[in-house]
Amino acid sequence: MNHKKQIGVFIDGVKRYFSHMGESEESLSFGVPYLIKNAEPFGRDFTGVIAISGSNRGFVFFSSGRSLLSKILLSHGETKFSSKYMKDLVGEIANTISGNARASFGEDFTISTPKVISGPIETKMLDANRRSYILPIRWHSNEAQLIISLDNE
Amino acid sequence: MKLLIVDDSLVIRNKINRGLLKEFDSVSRASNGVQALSAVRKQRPDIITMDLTMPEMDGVECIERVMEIAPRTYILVISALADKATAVKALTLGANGFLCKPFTEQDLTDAIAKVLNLKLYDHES
Repeated sequence: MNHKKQIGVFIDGVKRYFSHMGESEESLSFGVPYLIKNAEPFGRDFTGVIAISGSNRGFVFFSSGRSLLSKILLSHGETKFSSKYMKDLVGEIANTISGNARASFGEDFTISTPKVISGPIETKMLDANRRSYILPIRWHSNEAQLIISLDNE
Repeated sequence: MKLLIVDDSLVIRNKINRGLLKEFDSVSRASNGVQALSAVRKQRPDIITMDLTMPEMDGVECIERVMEIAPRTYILVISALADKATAVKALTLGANGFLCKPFTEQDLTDAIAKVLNLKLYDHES
């Protein structure tokens, strides 16, 4: 699968996730995906990380500020908005979007349990000679990013 | 009737609990397969909602073990793993339904109603 199709799968995953928040489709929009060198730091307040193995290798990150996570917690019916809840949620979002991608990539697209990073991501976990795609996400004026760092095997 | 919610996400455990609390006499929770097996041995739940991707012991192994310990338990898998092969595997091992994440409260109540109907039908036949 080429990179354009790969990104399409993840855009569909993000759309699917936010469509279950009980809001209109217009609430969600995407910026133009772009490439960054893996040596450049990235990440917002909290980032959920899923390691990918099997048919593809690498990582999928969902990174978000507190404001977007608070709104999603509210949509889930939560009344607590502490860092504990935000970290749990950001990991679950990364897990859901990555897991849903198996519908397109197949069962050999193996995903790990989520890990959560607070603040900027340590890029040493990535191959510095390669680049990652960043998909900017905006939901109700709150911003997040999906970062796709996959090698095709 | 007793429900056991198994998911490594606190937010999802809370969401399922809120959605199904009225349907059950008691609800307990576990955040991985090891905790779930302990709860099954102690509490003998009637229904389990089971995540698949979890630390310590994943949902697939947990379903296999639950079927050894308490084969009359009904299991609704609630997972982000959206490929057909995973759903078929879970159902083959003994699960009675599959709900793909993300889900709405209506999706959840519909899915649990199907499992409850299946349990009722099996009990009567």
